[in-house]
Amino acid sequence: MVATKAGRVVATHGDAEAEVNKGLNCIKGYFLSKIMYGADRLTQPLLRKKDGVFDKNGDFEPVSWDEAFDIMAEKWKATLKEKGPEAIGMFGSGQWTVWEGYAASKLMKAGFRSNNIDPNARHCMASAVVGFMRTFGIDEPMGCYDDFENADAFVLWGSNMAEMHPILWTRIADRKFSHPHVKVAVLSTFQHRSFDLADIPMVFAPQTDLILLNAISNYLIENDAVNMEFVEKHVNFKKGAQDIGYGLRPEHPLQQAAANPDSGASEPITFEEFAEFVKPYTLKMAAEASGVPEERIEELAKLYADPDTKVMSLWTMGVNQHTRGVWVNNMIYNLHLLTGKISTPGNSPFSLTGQPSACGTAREVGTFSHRLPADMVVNNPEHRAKAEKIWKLPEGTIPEKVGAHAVLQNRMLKDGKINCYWVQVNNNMQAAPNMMEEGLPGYRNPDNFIVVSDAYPTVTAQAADLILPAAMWVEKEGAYGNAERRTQFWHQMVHAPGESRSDLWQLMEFSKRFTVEEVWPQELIDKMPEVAGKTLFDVLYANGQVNAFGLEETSKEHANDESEHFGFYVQKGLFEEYASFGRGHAHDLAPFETYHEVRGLRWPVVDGKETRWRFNPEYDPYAKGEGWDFYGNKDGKANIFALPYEPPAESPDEEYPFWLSTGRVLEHWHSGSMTQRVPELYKAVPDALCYMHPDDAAEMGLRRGSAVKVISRRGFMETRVETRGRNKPPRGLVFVPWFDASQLINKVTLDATDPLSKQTDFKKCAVRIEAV
Amino acid sequence: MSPFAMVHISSLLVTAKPERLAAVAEAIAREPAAEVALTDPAGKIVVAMETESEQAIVDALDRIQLLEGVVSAALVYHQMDDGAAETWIETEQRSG
Repeated sequence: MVATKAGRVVATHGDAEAEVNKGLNCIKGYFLSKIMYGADRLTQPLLRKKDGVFDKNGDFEPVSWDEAFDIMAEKWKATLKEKGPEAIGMFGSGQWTVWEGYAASKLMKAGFRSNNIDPNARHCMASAVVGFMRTFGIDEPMGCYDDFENADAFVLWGSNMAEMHPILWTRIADRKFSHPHVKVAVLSTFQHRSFDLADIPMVFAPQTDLILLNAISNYLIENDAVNMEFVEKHVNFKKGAQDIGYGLRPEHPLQQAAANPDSGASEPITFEEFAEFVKPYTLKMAAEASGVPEERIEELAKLYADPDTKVMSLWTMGVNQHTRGVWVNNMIYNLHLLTGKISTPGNSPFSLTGQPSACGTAREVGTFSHRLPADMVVNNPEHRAKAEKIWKLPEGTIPEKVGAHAVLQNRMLKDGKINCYWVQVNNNMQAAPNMMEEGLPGYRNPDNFIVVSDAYPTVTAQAADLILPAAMWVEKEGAYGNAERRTQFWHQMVHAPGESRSDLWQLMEFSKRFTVEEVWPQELIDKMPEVAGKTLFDVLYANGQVNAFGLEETSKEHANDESEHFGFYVQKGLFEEYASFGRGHAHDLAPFETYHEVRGLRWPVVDGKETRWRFNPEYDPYAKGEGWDFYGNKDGKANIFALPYEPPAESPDEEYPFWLSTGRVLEHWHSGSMTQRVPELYKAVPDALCYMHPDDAAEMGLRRGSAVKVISRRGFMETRVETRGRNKPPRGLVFVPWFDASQLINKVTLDATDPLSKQTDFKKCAVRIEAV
Repeated sequence: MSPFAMVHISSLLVTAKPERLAAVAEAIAREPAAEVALTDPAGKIVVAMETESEQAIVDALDRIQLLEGVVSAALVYHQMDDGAAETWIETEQRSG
C-alpha cells in the first residue's frame, strides 16, 4: 500500500491482506516511492543535435514530443522503404505493464510486421520458458506460493533467495522454524546468504549441476525410489540431441565444432534406456566432478527419494543463465517426474522470476521474438491465423519468421542489419553481455537510429540518439503477472512529472504517424480494402475492440492520463482483447474489473475461481481423469529427458585462471538504474566489488579493499577486492555484481547463450585479476 | 514538502533462527532507536523504531540484517508523522 500527499507518493506500507507479501515490505518495495523522485528524473524528450538539427555525434538537447516523433517516423519510414520490416527492432521488459507489452507486441508484429521484438526477460528466464515447453508443452509453474507452507524440503538449485526474494525466503524460514523436520538444501558455485539456513549446503564446481542432477536420477533408479505407477501413466522418456554449441556467432570456432548446433530435437526412448543413460553418473563420479562430498549428494538425493518428503525445488539465474539452462530445467523436472512429486501441495518444481511481470507481460502476452499471446508462436500458421482473426487484420499480416532475440539484436545492430531500434523500460546496454564488442558498437553504428524510453538517464539512454521521458509505476494504471500465475492491477495515483508519458501513450501515439500504405504491401491491403487510408493507430487500437469501453468506466477516484488523452478506456480495451486469446485455452483471465476488486488471481480463472495446482484434477478444471493430466502435451504426458554433461563455453586456463560469476545483491536490483537514485540504497553497497577467497587474494599480494582489474579476452573493468563480504567464493572463482553503472562488468562477460533459449550465461567465463 | 522534517515511526519484523533468538533480540535492543516490542519462540521479533530520518531506518535495518542468526528483516510499517493525514491506497507489490 502507498500513501500520497500533495500529489506525491510519500510512504509505503506492507499490505496485511496481500497473499504474497503477508504484510511484509521488501526493501525494494519500500523505496519504490522514493525512486520516482530522483534529482535526474527525465522530464522532456532529448535529441542529439548539432547546429539545430539531428546529429548522431551531437549533444542531447530538449525537443518537443512532436519533434521527437517527427524524426523517429522519418527514420522508421526511410528504413522500411529501403530495407523492409526486418530492419526495425524493439527491446522491452518484464517491467512493462501487461497492456504496454501487448500494445508493443501488436505494433511490432502486426503494425510494422517485424518479429524483432524481445524483452529483457530473455536474459532472466528464457531457459525456464523453453524448459516448460519441452517438458510440459505449456509455460509457467504448475504450483504456487502456497507450496511454501506445505513442503517438507526446499532445494535451491541456483538461487540466492535470501537476497533476491527476501519475502518468499521468510516464508521458507517460517516453515522450517515451526516444523523442525523441514530440510533446506542450497546449491551454488559460491557461498551466499541463503547458506545460513542450509541443512545441506553444496558449493559445486561450475557446470557440474548437470552431473549432480543425473546422479540423483541414477540414485532414484538404483534405490527403487521411482514411482513406477506414476511414470507408466504420466511420463514419456526422450533422448535429447547432444553437442548443441553455445549460441555464439556462427563463425565462432566453438559453433563450428558443434555436431548439432542449436538442436532441441529428441527421440523417444524407454525407461530402461533412460536408466542405462544415467548409469555412469554415480555418486562417486558426481562427487569427484563437483567437489561436493558423496554423503552430502546422497543426503540431497534422499529428499527426492523418500516418498513421504514433499519437495519444493526452486531456481532462478543460476539455472537459467547457463549455456545448458534448458537442459538443467528439464533435468530438475526429471527428478519430480520420476518420483511423482508434482502438482500437489508442497510437491513443486518452482521456477522463480526476478522481474515483476516477467510472467505476466513477457511470457503470457508473448513479447518474445518467437511468441504470440497464450503460448502461441509466430512460426505456426494456425497460431498466426488465430491472432490475425482476433486482431481483425488481413490474413498474412504477421510474419512467420522468428525475429531476433536479445543477443542477436545487438549483433544485428552492430552489423547494420537493424537500423531503427526502440528500447523501453530497461537498461540493456549495461545488462547485456560483451558490451565492448557487441552492444556499444551497435548503438553507435552511424547507420542506426536508437530511441530509449526511460525515467532516468541510464547507460542505455546515454548511448541513444533520442531519449523519451517515461512515466513509471503508479503514474499510470498498471497490471503485472507474477511467478505463481497471479495477475494483479493498480490504479494511477499521481501524474508523471513534466512531459514524461507512459510507454503505452508513446507506443499508441507513435502509431498515428503511419498509414497502412506506408508500412504494408499493397497485396496485404487489397485483402481487406476497408483498412486503406487508415493509420496504424486506427487498425491496431481504434479497431472497435481496444476502443470499446468509454471513459465513464474508468475509476472516479483515480486519474487515467492515457484514457483521457485517447478518449476511451485504453487499459480495459487492451486487456479484454488480449484476454480473448487465452479464455477457453487454459490461460483464462477474469474480467478486467475483477482485478481492481481483488488482490490478484492465479490463472486459469474459470467460473470466477483461480487455480492453485495445475494438472491436478482436484484443483484444475482443465485437468481430466484420475491423478494427473499434463494437458499441455497432446498425449497428456510430461517428458523426461536423457541429457548429458557438456562443458561450459569457456573455462579457466593458465592465462585466465578464475571463473567469473556475476549477479545481484539485496539492496539493488537489475541494473541499478532506479535503485542507485535512492541515496539510502546506494550507501548500503556503494560500489560493485570483486568478491574473492582470502587465500586467492593473499597469493596475489592483494588485500580487502585493494584496487584490481578484472580482465577477460573481451575487456576489463576496475573494482576493489572484498574477501569478507556475505558472498564467499571458493578458491578459483570471483563474484562481481553488475548493477554499478561506473563499473561495468559486462565489458568482461562472454555472449555465449543457451542454444535453445538464447539466454546468456552470465555465470561462467574466464578472467584474470591484476593489481592496479 | 520535505520528508526529513518529521518524525519517522516504523516497525520491522525480524526472522531469526530460534536458537539465536535471545542473542538477536539483545543486539537489537542495543540499537539506539529500536525497541523490541515482541518475541516469538518460532523465530519472530517485532521491532518498533522512532527515528529522525529514513536513512536511520535503513542503517538500522542493515545492521540488523547482518547480525548472526538473522534470516531476514522486513519493514512492516512506516509513517512520516507531521500531523496531516495522508491517503492510503492498496497496491500489492512484487514479492521481492
